[in-house]
Amino acid sequence: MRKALFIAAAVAAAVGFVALPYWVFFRAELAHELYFNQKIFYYHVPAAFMMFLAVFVCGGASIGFLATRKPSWDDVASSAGDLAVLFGAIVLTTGPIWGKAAWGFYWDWDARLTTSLLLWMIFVAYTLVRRYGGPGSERLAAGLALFGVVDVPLVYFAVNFWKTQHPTNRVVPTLQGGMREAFLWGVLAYLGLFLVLLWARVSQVRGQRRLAAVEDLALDTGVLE
Amino acid sequence: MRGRIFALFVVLVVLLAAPGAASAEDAVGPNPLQAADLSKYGYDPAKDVGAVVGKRFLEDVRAVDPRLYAAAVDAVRYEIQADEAAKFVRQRKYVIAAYAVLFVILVGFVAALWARSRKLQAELDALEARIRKSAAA
Repeated sequence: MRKALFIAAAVAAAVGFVALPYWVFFRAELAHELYFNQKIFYYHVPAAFMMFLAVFVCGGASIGFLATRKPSWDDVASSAGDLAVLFGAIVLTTGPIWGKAAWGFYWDWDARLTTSLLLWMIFVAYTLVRRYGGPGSERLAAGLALFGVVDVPLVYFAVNFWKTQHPTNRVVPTLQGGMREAFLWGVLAYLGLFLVLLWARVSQVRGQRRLAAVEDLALDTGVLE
Repeated sequence: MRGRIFALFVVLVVLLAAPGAASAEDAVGPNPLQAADLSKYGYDPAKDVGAVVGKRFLEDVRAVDPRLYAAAVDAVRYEIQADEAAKFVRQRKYVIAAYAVLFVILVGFVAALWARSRKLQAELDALEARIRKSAAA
């Protein structure tokens, strides 16, 4: 079952990333005012969605870990934390490039951009704590992940709460025709990629954990000195 | 954008009405639109939509001289195409930059993942070798 899901995700990612440029450049209509620059949208927004998904997975698994102390939850949380940083990096680089073309400047300290940067920095801190925090840092990192989850609604609704330079949340629901389909291809491609990377990273983290456990066992039983 | 197109349109109509401003002035006298009352087409970009004013101007031109209207529209069409093409070229570099950054980040992450897997495999091989060596001794 897991293998079938992995294969389905890999196929979705492969087909999605092949089909996406075709839909973006040949089927999606040119946007008024934003014009050709709008093509960045089809990669930028799905990446933001995956960043949110990664944060929610990390937060959910962190709650599971804090409640049960089972390492399997921690493995998922740790892996999703890495993906939050990855997709956040994509969002925070493609976004300013889009901004430069659309607004004439790369960055503005408006609420959407600032809370997005904050969210990304929280997960950079999360991965640093995981890597260099030493024993017991898993619980500290889990708390940090929950702090990050709280930031997601702030990022999403920032455009409603405050006057921002960033476009509103009405853009995606009002997409029509080829633009809508191109966007959905983008979401499919990114979702497939997200699942494949999550699966790969979790397998890796579990492999590292088991290797360390076997090493300890070998030392404890005297097989190794 | 609409305001710019309207302004461009007015300029083009003026140019078409009096081809080669300076030389036309020498040949046929001053720009005929200079004496015309264009106050009807004045608009505030902060309040009015330029395209609406422009459309009204076009309709008036068409009512007076349909051929001049057709010529003006044709000229504006070429100008808009040139403007859009320039915009496309300008924006293309941003789209290319965004896509390049995106794929560099993704490929970098996958490469890091692959390197970690190789390191894990090497550690596993080393552990296996140590256990075999210890068992043999």
